[in-house]
Amino acid sequence: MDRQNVDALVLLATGNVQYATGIDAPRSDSSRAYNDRPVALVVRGERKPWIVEPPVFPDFDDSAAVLANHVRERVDTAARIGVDEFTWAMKQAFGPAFGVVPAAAVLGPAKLSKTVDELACIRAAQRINEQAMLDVYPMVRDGVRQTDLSAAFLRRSYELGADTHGIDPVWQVMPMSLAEGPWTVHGHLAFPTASTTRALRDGDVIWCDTSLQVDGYGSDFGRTWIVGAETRTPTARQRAQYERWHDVVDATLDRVKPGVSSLELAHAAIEANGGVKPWLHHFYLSHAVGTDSAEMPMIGTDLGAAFDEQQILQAGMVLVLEPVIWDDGYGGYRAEDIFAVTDDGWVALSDHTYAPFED
Amino acid sequence: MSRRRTNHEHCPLWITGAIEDGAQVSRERLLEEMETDELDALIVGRPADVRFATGARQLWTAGTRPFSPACVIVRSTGRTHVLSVSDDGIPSEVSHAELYGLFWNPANLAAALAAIPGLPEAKRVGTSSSAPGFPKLIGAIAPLAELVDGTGAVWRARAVKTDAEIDLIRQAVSVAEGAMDAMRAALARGADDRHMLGVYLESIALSGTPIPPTERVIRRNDDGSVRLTSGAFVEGYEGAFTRTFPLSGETFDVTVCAPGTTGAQLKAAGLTAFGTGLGAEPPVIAPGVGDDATLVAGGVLNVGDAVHRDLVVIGDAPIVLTNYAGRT
Repeated sequence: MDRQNVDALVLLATGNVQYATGIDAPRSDSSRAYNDRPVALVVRGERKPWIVEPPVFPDFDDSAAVLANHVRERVDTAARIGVDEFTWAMKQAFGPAFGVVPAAAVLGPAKLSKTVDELACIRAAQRINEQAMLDVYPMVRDGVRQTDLSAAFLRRSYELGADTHGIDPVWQVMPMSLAEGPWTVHGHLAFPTASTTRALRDGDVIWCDTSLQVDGYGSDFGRTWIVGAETRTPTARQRAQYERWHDVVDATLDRVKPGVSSLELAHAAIEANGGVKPWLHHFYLSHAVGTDSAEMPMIGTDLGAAFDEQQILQAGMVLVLEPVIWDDGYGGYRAEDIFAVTDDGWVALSDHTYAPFED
Repeated sequence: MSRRRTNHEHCPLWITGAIEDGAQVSRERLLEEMETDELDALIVGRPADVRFATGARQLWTAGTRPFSPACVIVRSTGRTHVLSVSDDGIPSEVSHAELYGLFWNPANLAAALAAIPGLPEAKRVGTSSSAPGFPKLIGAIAPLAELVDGTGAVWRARAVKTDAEIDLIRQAVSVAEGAMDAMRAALARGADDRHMLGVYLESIALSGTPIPPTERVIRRNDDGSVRLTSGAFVEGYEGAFTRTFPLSGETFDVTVCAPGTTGAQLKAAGLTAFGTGLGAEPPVIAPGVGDDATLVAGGVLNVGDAVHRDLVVIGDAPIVLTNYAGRT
């Protein structure tokens, strides 16, 4: 806040509130979370943040007025305040007071490097996610529905200690070629798509993707599975896609240490994939996770090479590497692993089998 | 209108066209309210609003996010434009040209929005919320536009439920009842909270509807009673209710859910309430908020107290949708 000359932050978004205060902010369902939100007020120079708790409903005039009063009591009206969401009721209640700026200007840089505690929370969430998947994996057989897998995954995750889950579990059946669809705006792969009561069929290649939160910090789990894998081993071509995925991850990790530009990681990944970008067109090679499921640093987005070049790795940054090896006509391989940048390299925060691909 | 091949093609409500038909009705309601408020365009950011405007079923994510344009409705063309990378889960009424992709770069998002027919010329643009950088983004795309509060139009359009919507809420309630049964059975076995939460989520997911309206499902009271809140979504419509076990046998008089009743009156009766439809909606009647809110006929209300909550259709003869144990 000092660097950006921001005097206070008024935060509404769940991940931001949890980051600023550690409070257990409701996440499900998002419509409830929009209604029933604790608002964080962080005042420069004060050691502890304020939580303006329900009854504060920032969407509604009467409640937004209460929020504005709380802020006015603690922050001078000439101050610059960073806000992440500014509802119409808030605009009305705050009036012309305060210079309002995007909270992301402060939160973005602050969240870039994780403390050891934060990394431990991410690891704890990931571990629960991985353990739950050990129970789900044997269910992946002909006739099981996507929502049946979600049932088992969610039950196990919460029993193991998850506080919330970040996305509806994804168990996407991948086509063998882009021409099969679904149609996309960019002509490349669609992923992730919502799960339904669709039954999986023997031989289907599924890309799974799940996210849990423990103490506000998220996991991000991704693997490629083959339905009925006990009787159907990956083909040579599928295995080659899997090996190529590891080549890309290894080449990327080889570059990871403080001081390196993220553009260098992107180049290493592309080179390891024979000159073809090994990631989803609308996403990235890598993103971080924290109290939000997708945080900076993000590598390979449409922010472009110049952005990636100025994004320099520091100790404490989190990299959720998620390359995608697409082999049009023969499907592809996708998985995600999480790493933290250390003082001289990296450490893994995820640890899960690549079955049915590895022996 | 041809139906697209999607992951949803085996879902009965999509096969029959019910989802598409419902979306058409909702879109027309929105356009009517946009006319009332003289909005040339409406930009909404929340998943439920996107669903209401288009019928789109997108991947569910938890928590709230800063405002960003997820759907644009243009009055002059009557068309909806959606932020979606693929057409999966998008009713075929929304053409491919009306989908804009996911961008991390604001310049690319701005270019995509600028290509929406009718938006650059718009003079009054309603939004469902805002963020500090947003007026500048819109100013670059629609230089003539005055940014105004679009929430009135959205909430008025969503407030009164059609028969089809109430039917979906009833289906969600049915799923929630099964999950409540499962939790009670677990409770009877002496299950701890984590296990009961797991049982609840498993139950709704096995019904094909894995998304929970709230994760605050179980509360153990000092007197040993246990409060359970069960809920589910069917095609985005929520059905949730609360009971405390053992049941006390007492419950509130639903005649209070008549049109014209104010929030202050509900609170005087010891009740709190919030609207229900595509999730939680206005009005919100709770300590510190909603005194002046007025119940509208045809709305659905989640109403009750800390012990017992029901879903009620507001009307001169209010209809209880959650006739579960404790309210029969």
